[in-house]
Amino acid sequence: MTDHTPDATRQRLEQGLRSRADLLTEAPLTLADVRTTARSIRRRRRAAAAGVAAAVLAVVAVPVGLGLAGTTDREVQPAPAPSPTAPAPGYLEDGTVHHLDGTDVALGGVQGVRAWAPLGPGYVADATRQGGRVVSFHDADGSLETTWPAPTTRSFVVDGDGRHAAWVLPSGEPVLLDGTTGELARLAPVAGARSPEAVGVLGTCPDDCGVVVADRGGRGPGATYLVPVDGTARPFLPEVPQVVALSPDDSLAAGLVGPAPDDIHSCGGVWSTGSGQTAWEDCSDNLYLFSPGSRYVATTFAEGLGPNSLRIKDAATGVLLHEMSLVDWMPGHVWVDDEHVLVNVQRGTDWSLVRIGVDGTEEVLAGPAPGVDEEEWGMAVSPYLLPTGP
Amino acid sequence: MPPTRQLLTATDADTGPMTDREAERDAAFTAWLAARQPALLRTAYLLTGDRHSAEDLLQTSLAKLYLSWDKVRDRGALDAYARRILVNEHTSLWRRGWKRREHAAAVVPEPEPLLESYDDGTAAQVWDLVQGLPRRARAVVVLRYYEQLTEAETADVLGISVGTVKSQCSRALTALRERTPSHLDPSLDPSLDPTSREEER
Repeated sequence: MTDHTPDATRQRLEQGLRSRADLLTEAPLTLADVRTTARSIRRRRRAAAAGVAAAVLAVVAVPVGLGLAGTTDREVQPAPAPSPTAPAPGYLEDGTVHHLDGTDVALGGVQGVRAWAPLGPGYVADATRQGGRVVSFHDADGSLETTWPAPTTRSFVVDGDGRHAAWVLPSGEPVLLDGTTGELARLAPVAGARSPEAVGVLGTCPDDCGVVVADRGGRGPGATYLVPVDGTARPFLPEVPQVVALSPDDSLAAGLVGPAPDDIHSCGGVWSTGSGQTAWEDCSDNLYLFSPGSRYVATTFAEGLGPNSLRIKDAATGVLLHEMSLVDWMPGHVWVDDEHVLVNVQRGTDWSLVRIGVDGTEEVLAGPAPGVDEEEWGMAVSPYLLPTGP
Repeated sequence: MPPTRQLLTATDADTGPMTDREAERDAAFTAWLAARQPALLRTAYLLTGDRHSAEDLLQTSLAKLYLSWDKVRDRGALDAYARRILVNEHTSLWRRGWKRREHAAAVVPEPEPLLESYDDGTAAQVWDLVQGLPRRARAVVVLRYYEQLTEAETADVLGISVGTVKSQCSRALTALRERTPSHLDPSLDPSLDPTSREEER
């Protein structure tokens, strides 16, 4: 947009600001003042980190206890308790995260956010900084803490408790980011992998977990590996040719086995990560996203311009619970709690965010709004960017 | 290659442990503080709209800068870094529902506007306009027209697109024009319109 406003108006604005501010010439704060506030901030940050750690311990304790009570690995564990410091997920618009509880947080220091997610008390994003693609780490206020090299293919993934993110560096090394400390651990690369990308995080981080990495570079469907934080890569679920998603409680994995008989869709399903046994299969969708409590899975079929419908299924049985009506395009969706999926929907030229319940309820939370021009796509795309879910 | 669990060097700021050079750090911070604090206070004042809130905002922002002092390797980028913290912290304060202290004026005297010789009465209108803007639009206007940052620099500080900076500035200028009585705005005075003069000739 070209600024056609006369210079005189701009000069008035500049003069008006100067006339108010330029009289302030004092320096009222001393080093002691600053240090006192800094100590307070440091204590608050430590308290927040301790709160997250306590919540994670509580979440881990639940499935262990149920396991001793005699449940099988096919049974779905209860939903983990949300982290006390994690705000309700929402969407990103024009660089600002709008949480569903009404709070806004601007992710500073980066532009062109491709993907983002709450991480611990702060945020992680796949964005552009100083002309280069980076993974950026932000504190709870959105201030940029630091950046690292971004993956060249799929973006980062987030673990089930929203505390760790993982991706594969351009060098082929998987990395694991601790959202509480900002510490990045570099893991052993998968030997011979041609195009590795992170699929999920398995286990209890930081000490007893690993990054699940799929190698999509070969001619076949590829292979999947588990790269533990302190070890070398080993095959993961070799029964499944292409693992595409992990349930947050680590009990289930979704994957693809090959093209459907109609040569259009894909055959895939859900497997037990413990026994490797098939839970269910069908030949319709190729994108899977498990709910936070691992009870449900949202599936879509993406080809061409992307998915235009969404199905919510029982994760353990594959029973269809609800199917969203067809739209023109729905390029993103994320679970906002264990009963609802937030979907980015295009109908005509307008975009909306629709919250869909397992019970079939649909509620428009934002929009309809026109699309925004995107140079990379050469077309109008959604003004909303949903977070990357676990 | 042995199993690895090494810390990766960050590209912007190191998240490793701080060094034990506190005295040196404090001396450097104090010197920077003396030089830059008045300017940051002015920016904070324009963002918040009152002196007391500005000092609160500045104190929190400086504390965050102090905590990050060792991470900022490029000392030439300190001002930009401090400005970014200041603006983002202002957004954060607003987000938390932090309320401006009603007694602020009774504690810290507000500065009277400096009426420059060229001021023709629109300074108050500018102030009302800027303080009435949404917080991020206000930040755009302050950075662009007071700090005199470029559109790209403003976008970088706020983490928004250059297009958004342009549109916010355009809206603010349009609003100011609409609020300015025509007899005070040369751009709205037909007698000063070059086209009119041409026609008169």
